[in-house]
Amino acid sequence: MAAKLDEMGRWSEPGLLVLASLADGEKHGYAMVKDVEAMAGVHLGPGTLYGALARLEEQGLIAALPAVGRRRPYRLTGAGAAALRTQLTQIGRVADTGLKRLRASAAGA
Amino acid sequence: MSPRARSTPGPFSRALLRLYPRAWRRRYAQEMHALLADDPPGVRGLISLALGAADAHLHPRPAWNATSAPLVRVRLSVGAMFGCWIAMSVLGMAFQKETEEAGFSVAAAHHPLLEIARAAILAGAVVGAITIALAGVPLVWVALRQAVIERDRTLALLLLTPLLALSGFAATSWLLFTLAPSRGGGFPAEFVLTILLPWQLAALACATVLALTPRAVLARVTPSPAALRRAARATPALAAATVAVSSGIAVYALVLARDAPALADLASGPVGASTGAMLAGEGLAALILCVPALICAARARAAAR
Repeated sequence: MAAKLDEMGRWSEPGLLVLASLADGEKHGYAMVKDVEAMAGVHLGPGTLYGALARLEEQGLIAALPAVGRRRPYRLTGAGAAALRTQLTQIGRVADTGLKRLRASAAGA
Repeated sequence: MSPRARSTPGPFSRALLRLYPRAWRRRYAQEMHALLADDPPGVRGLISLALGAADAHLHPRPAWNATSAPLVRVRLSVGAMFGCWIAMSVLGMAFQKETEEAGFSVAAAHHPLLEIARAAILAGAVVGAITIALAGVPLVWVALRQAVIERDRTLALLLLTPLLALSGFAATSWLLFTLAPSRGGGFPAEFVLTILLPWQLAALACATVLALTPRAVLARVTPSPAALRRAARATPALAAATVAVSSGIAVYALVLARDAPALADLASGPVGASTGAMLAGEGLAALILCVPALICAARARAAAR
């Protein structure tokens, strides 16, 4: 599943942020932009957001819901949740290792 | 919504959105409009839009067409079906106006097919009106709510378009018939060319606007799937009503064309060549209108499944 995110090339990071944003429930575009901004300090541009949404939707990682007015909410699919879990686990492992090494390096200095 | 939020995106955003592929716009433009209205982009946002458009052209996705499919197709097909019915209603009103003279009643009394054709038109009109009331009015209500709640000026303008078209037609009619020279009971060529023909063209323009409006409105409005499915389920009844009215007009025109001389002897009304030709034209137009009506009904039903 994580391979699907890797296939997204330069869109993989916005894709990951979108998946993380949808992890706690459905959101439409503007809600995602604000959520990602609060969560990661990154403001997703409209072209970047919809580039990522189109790819995630095509890969079956998210699903579009019926529009509410002009806004269309999206939700995480089962495959999307699995891909997100795999990616975050990998990132967590890298973060843990990196932090451990930093601490060891600081202790040795 | 952000403090800068507005009902429609700015001109630069709209221009950049037009750079996206058509299939992409069909799928995403409406929600992207909402995002750009909620969160108006700065320079970086505009650059993101431009890069997104370039990427969309470089990496087109078949899914853009597929994912938009069912509900959008239902909306557009239902809108087109309503348009067909409106066009048919206009033809029906023209038919009614042309055949309201007492002479036509006398003719109908002597020819049962004329009576049957009128009954078919009446039945179709009643079924169509009931169907529109049940299926169309809820969608108009959704559109009105969306226009007000989202301050969607384009949608509001689209909803006002029929009123503007009718007002324009009423004003044109008043002007033409105020300026009309006295025709002394007949239809002299000058009257036909300077008054009747422009008036008929104005009526045609008004009818065209009225017929195109429902599809344009439903392309912008996003009712609930349940409301759309209800409307889609009503389209066969509307198509049947369209066929009934068009068949009635066509049969009436045909009978009149075939038996006009005999009926003209009986009728005191204008069952003459010009009226016959007008009715024949209306019958032909009504029959042609059945084709898109049946196609739209079939498409709406298929997409709603």
